[in-house]
Amino acid sequence: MILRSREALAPLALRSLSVGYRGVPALWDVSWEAREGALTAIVGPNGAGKSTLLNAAIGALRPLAGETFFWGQSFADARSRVAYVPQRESVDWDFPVTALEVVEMGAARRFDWLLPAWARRGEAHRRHRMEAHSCLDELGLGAFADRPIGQLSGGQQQRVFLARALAQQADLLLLDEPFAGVDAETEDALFQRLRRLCSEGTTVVAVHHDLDTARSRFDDALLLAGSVVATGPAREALSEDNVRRAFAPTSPAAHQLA
Amino acid sequence: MLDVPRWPLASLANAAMTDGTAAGQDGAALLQAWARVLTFGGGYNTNVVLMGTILLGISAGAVGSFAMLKGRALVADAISHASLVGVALAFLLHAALGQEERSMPLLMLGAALSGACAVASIEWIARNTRLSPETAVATISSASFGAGIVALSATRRVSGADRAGLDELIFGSTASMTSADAALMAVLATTALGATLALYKVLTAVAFNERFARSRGLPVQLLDAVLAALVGAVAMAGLQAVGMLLVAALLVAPAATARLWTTRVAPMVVVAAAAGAGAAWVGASISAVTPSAPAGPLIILSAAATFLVSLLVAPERGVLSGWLRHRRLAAAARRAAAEAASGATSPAPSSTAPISTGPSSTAPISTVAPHTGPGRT
Repeated sequence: MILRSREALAPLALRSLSVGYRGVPALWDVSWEAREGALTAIVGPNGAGKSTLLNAAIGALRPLAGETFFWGQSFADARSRVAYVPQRESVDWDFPVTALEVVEMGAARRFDWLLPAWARRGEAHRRHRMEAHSCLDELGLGAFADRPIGQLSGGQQQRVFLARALAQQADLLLLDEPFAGVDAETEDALFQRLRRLCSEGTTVVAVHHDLDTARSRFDDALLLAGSVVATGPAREALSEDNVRRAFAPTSPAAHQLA
Repeated sequence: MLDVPRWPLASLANAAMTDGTAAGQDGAALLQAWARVLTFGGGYNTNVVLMGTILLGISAGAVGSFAMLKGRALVADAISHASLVGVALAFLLHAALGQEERSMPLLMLGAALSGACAVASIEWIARNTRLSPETAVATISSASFGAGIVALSATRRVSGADRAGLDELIFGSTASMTSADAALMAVLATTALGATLALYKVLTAVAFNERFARSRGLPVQLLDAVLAALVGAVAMAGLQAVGMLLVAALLVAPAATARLWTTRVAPMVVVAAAAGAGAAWVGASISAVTPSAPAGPLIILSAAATFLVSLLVAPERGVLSGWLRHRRLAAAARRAAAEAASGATSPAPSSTAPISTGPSSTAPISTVAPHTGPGRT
């Protein structure tokens, strides 16, 4: 397949992506590219297809049409370079695992899955454990490593998920509402950490709900309302005018979806 | 940890029917016989059946833990209900071929096939319609059981059906088991146990967070099918000893018991296996000395008794400890209120305060439009 050069470079490129549930379109003809090393917000009203976009990108949903490329490759080929963090509510937090064990799932590489924890000995095992510990430390959760996840607060749970993504050492982070249920202080700390990742060359794409922080804290934005309303530098893409169009019940996107 | 009944049930029944002295002697003799069987002194065949059943309990505890963690505990129930059709049809086929002796492997194969059909239907409904998985399980489970009863009534017209003891397969009986039957059960149970332990890590990952597991390249759908197959294997193994209706409880009760005592997956699996083994050991041995009491119900009752006791006394998640914690906190709150009324101030008691803050409120949506979709997509 011949790829245009920009698609070969972009960490995430969607081309004419459409997704539907039971005959109802959720995402229509979306073409978009994430800029390398940028912190990008995906913004839009409820039902705009923000989470759908991430899930279709990683192949958890089968698109009706269109393609997704990661550095010009399919997700299956680029998997090891991409970390995905689902919405916090998508998980049963009463599950009997500790924070450390969750993060270790991120540190696990291809063949580690086949070896149960008690069967693993030696260097690789110690390295994973240390990696997981340092990821938890970085997010201020060092003291909670052996705590069952059900005993953590919502913000701490969100940080555990981010620590798991850090442990994957990915070049592209796809985060689904990472700031939902997080207090202001934690949000600040998370933004600082994401900012540092970006400065090291990692690309971060996050579904985000708050327009103010989307404008002030993110580099780029993708404004969605079923289809693309605006893209570009966050302040410009999220101008009053664009936002009104995206959130109006009669927006072109809403119209198309009706 | 296991709650061992003081008297075999049958001796209590005897006591009600005969005079006190005779019942006392009867009861003492039964207790002695039971103790002998419990300590594996009950003869070769009894021992083989008892050990096979214990292996079944271990395997059911381990496999059931993952089924429960995956939120698929009811699938065991559907498999067990659906297996009746397969058993009855397999028997009819067998009879049509002119065979009169029952063949356990053939009956198990029939049960496995119909169980697989039931699981496939449930998964299809859950994935492709808006019905909840519980609705799918309940519908398929009862519908296939109805079909099973119809098929079973057809077998009654065939000679030899009584001898084949199809009714026994519904509620389970160790009395009619040969050591070959027990060996088949043990092999199936051990295979299921081995596969579960080998896949321990991936099964945990998929049960905890399916989307994440998929994004890491784990074959989620294949693993779902493997877990269903393991549940099915345990159900097939338990067909004869525990019975097709009750084997589901052997998969669920030990796992539920273990969850009350543990906060991590590995200890949970170990405790569940131990609880399953204990229930099988107690139930099957009681049944061995009181042939009128079928093994299946006795095993399940032992498992249920363990669960009930755990539910009351488990340290973190038990009813009693929760009640005590609540009382302590309420008392502290009343003290604080009384002190506040008298002018002094007192801080919240950090030792009795719950550690978890529970699900905190989600971030507000700072938008202008009144979009109220059914949920985020």
